[in-house]
Amino acid sequence: MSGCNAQAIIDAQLDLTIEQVRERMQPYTARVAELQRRYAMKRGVLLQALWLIQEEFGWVPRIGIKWAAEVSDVSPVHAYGVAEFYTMYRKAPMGRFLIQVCEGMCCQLKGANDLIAHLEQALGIHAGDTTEDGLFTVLRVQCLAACGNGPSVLINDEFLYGPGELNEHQEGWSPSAADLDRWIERLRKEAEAKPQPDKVDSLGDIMLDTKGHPGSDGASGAPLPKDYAPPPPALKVKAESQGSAITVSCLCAPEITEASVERSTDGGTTWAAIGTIDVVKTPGVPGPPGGPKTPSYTDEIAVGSTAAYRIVAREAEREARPSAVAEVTAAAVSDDGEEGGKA
Amino acid sequence: MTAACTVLSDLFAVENGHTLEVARKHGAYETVGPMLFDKSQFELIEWVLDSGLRGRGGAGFPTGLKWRTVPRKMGKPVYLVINADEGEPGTFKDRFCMEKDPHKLIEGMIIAGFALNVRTAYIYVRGEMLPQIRRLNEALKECYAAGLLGENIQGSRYSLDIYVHRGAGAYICGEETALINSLEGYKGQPRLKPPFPTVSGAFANPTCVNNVETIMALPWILKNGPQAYRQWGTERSPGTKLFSISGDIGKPGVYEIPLGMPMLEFFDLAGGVDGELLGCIPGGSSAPVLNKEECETCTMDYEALGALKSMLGSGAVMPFNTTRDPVRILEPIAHFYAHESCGQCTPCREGTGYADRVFQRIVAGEGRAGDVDMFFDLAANFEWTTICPLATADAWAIKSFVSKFREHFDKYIDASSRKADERELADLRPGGFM
Amino acid sequence: MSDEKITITVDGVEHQVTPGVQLIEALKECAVDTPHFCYHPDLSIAGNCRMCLVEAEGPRGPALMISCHMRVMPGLKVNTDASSERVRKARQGVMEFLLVNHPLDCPICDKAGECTLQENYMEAGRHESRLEDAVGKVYKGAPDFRFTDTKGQDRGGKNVDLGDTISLDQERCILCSRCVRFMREVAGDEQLYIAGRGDTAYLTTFPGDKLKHDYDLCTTDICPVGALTGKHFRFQQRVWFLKKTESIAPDDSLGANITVEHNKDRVWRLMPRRNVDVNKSWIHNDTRLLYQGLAENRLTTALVDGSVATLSAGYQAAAAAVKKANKVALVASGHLTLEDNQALVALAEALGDKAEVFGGSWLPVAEGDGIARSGDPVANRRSCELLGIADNLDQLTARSEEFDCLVVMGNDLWGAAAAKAAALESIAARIVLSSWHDDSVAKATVAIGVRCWAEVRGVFINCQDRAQLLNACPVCPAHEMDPPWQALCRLSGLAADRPLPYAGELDALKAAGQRHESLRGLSYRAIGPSGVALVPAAEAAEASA
Repeated sequence: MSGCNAQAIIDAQLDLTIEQVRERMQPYTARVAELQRRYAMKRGVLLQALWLIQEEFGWVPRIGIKWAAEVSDVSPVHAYGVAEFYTMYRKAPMGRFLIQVCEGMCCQLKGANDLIAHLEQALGIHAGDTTEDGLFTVLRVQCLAACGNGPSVLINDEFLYGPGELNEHQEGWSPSAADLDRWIERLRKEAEAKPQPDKVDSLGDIMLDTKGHPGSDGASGAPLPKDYAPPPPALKVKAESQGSAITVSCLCAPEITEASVERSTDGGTTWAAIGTIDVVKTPGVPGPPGGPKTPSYTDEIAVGSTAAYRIVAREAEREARPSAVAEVTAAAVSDDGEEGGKA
Repeated sequence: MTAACTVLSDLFAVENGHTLEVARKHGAYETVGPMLFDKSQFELIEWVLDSGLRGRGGAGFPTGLKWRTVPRKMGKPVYLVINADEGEPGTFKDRFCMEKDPHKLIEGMIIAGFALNVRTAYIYVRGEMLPQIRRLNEALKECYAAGLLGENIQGSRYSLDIYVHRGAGAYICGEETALINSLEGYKGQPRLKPPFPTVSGAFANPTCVNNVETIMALPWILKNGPQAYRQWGTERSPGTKLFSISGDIGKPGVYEIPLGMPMLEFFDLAGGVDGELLGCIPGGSSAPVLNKEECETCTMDYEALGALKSMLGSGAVMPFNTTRDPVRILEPIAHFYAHESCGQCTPCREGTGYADRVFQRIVAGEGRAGDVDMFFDLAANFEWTTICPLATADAWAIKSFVSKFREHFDKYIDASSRKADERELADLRPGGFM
Repeated sequence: MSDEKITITVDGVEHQVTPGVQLIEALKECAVDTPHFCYHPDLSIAGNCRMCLVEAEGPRGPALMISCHMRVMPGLKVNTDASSERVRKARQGVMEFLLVNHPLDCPICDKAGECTLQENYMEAGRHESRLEDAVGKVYKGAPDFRFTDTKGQDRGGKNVDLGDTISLDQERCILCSRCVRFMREVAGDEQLYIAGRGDTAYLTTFPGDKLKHDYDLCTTDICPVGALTGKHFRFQQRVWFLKKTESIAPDDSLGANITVEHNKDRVWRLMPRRNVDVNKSWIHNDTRLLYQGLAENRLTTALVDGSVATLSAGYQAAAAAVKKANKVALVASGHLTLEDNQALVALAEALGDKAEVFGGSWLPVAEGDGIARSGDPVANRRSCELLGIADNLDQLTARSEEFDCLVVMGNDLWGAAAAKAAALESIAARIVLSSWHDDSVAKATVAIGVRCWAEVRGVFINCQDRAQLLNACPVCPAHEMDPPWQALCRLSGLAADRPLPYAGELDALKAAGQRHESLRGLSYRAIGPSGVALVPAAEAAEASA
């Protein structure tokens, strides 16, 4: 992380063995087990495991990265590379109150630089440093997605975007230098009253008893049944006449294997199947091909007569409900080849 | 906010609208029942396509088309991943949504999940949003308790689990393949495409990544039908969109407006521009800046902004007035991209930082004649030469600012003590090694 | 596999290329070299260096694409730097970005002369620098190795002790990730990773851990710059002075293809030589370091009863012993060439009934590692088998009483299993042909120095029945020494009064062709630098019939 002295990072490393870290991480067992259930492969846990380390230690020591690698089933160097990639994992201990101020374009427009300068002066440190009493660290950060309340300020993990408590949002409110002074005062008092800070759940209080990703270690979730959803009916049925020839077309789901065309000549009271449309899979492509299919069927009726058509699609054994109805009157083709009636 | 236009924002002003109890009073989860379970997946996908809903994360890709490419029936797990890694400078709508109405997101996820054969879904929330993560987890717990999530939702045969995944600070994870890498426990670096994530995404399984706002539009569309959604917006940009407006504006905040609204009308809606308008960034820092004339003529939709060679992006609008120096607006933007480059592709990794350093010298009053052109040329060299569009976004910002506000940049050179410095290296050693 | 080619257009000219390959490979087929860093044919595609950009015609007009990731399709239209200004400019841009933060180490860098960065700069770089010193560089390095130099500049990781074999310069690294992919995909042991991000990203092991793998030196081969360098070769030679001879690894029956690099009568390093059918681009560290023992402890003379003698005196003494003997055991060697073993068999025939050929080895055979080793240290075992030489060393020890003369060539029986070989010490005359003062030489009554594997030409047949060629480097410490086959010819002339009719290795190779159908018709030209798969005997017989 920028602003962190390389030597400080090395000096800060804990003299703990991996066994000691495992011991300290015992209270996290339930959350780790839950996380391991949630992903197809354990490595999905890695980012969350690093958060747990930060929750326990207040930062991410290298020996903690080894623990995170263990529970995520990745190589230690992989976990190290990942921990170094993300800016929120702290490479060295920081103050009890981390004040992050956005230096993005919107917040600069709203005076972020002045606010940071004020903080630096009020606390007697440069951005990136920690006060001597170990209480405050100030960081310049990139966009915090609270531009409407710029300059955005985060105190530890909580947003300062309203005049009241943290996280209490007020549209259009902007923190001023005086607001920050007030908060610094308040946090100092809080630290006096409570020398040991409470741990903040870094994963935001996740559920601990989900059934997990089907097939993962420790998971009991059942996979979806193949046919949980109704079979897809044909959509956008159209019947168009070209003289006595009627072309019935529709849009079918890729999983449709067969569709039968039904005709009614009594305005939809009785229906008779008149044929099937081959909705074959594209040869050589396993499973349903990506896009939907647009099969069509040609029928003959007497010129001047009216018929209604609908399509009943089938997905293997399952029959979908009939499609919407398309009605057409077979119009005589005029000499100049003008189109006939349309549904 | 106009009263007629509350596809997404109906609960934003309702007290405790984030709780299941209040949300249900306002119609939440009405779709999770026969309205959804009696529909086939294909119908749902085609409905979304017909509604014309487009991805609200930035690229504006038609959601229905993306869904069509998901191989639902291959027997592999399909994942739905919600992109809540909101970090595009100027954008704060998704944070707002998760905070004010998490249940609309969950309801939308149930609909999308049902349509795409999803058993396991993730919400990838950027690490800085812990309060919003808490709120989501709270909402999820309420849903599990009410039988709206988990196995056999509301007695149906459909089961869905939703997990929140906390990011850890990397803008680039908003790019969908980087987000998938981050979800999988890798560095958040974009992947080469093809294969596209809808075919081979998280853990090599089909993965559909959608933005928070996109998914939140689904309950309304399912209830009211795709054609009703088209009552707003334009032919190719139908519907409504959330805009985050900040900068020199009377009432910054999140507004839901129909797409296609003239930009100036939107400014008026948001309390009017403070001072005299000089220009506006229309879609987050990645969107090329517009000058005043362009602002006056353009409407807020994908096509109109595209025609101006800018973009709607994430809907982050940042107008600025004539008291501002565009050079100083570009400064944090150029720095931002250099800071957020994932470090994978050469042009972005080395180029964004190099351009930033050259720019810093200009801003510091130490630029040489020709440095602005060089700055522009460096940006051109990392435009479209990388895996993902991060460097391209930086290039667009740089190129648009320099070309539209050139005189402001030249002022810095004119005032520079070193403007007449020769390009000594090149002159002394033509053909020399760098 | 289909031989059908597809047509693509490169710079306006149509070419026929193999379907489905990466564009960068297809361009090679069209004789267009594309500069690149991260692409490696034996690793997965990373696509991060962006050097191989070309302009490809797409649905939305020509677009810049990387040729390593793109697959060729029929009708593809591509413009390279030869015809597209846009490609030239893009590549110049990439080169500029690569050099912006690269330290100016070239004069002291071991990679200079074979550095891809230098080569591609000459090829595609922007030759007028516009980098201003004042803009500064961002030097890459782990926190643990950062330092402030004498000019007060914050510097990255220099000369980092990465492991027993490799030194890492983090500043020089261009983050192509080849080494990371090698360790993950080929070695199967992820020990390297790129940590951090943006221009401060750096290559590292887990802090405090050392890189340790039997193949880790391969990362120095694929490193396109001077970031990873093998300690064994650092500052030994400037690479442009090295001459190269193509050869085969003599320590394993897979027969990894190697290049012997030598200068001034000395081998300085062994490098892997790519052969997709054999070792891909990899060799085992032990193979690579074989050269270190090559010139040491050489037997360049003869030893008669332990005393140094001239080579001709050695031949005389050996011939006398053979001539005098009633029963001679000749031991072939899977460590020597097909030609050498052919000569041994021919010598046995010349000696008639009193000679018997034995073969095999007591060296333990291990499991293959799936990379570039089969695990069998007897590299040319298949040659012996095809020549009809049995694996019967144990018979020899059981029947050692029957023999009064033993001829062992290039097969250190005592070194492999001294206890078993002890039985052979009852044989009165023990003649050993060897390149080194090995344990067998110590037990010999007559020892004769011969040329070693790097100094001879000949054929090895690997465990996949592939004939591969060793070539002779001019590094022999004593020019009067013979290759083993020639030594045997000489011995035959003296001991059986019938010199073998081989004027050169090729004659021995041809003679071997008479012994086995699969070997028929082999020639050095046919084998070539990449070897040739032997036709199975049945098919060969059919074809000749």
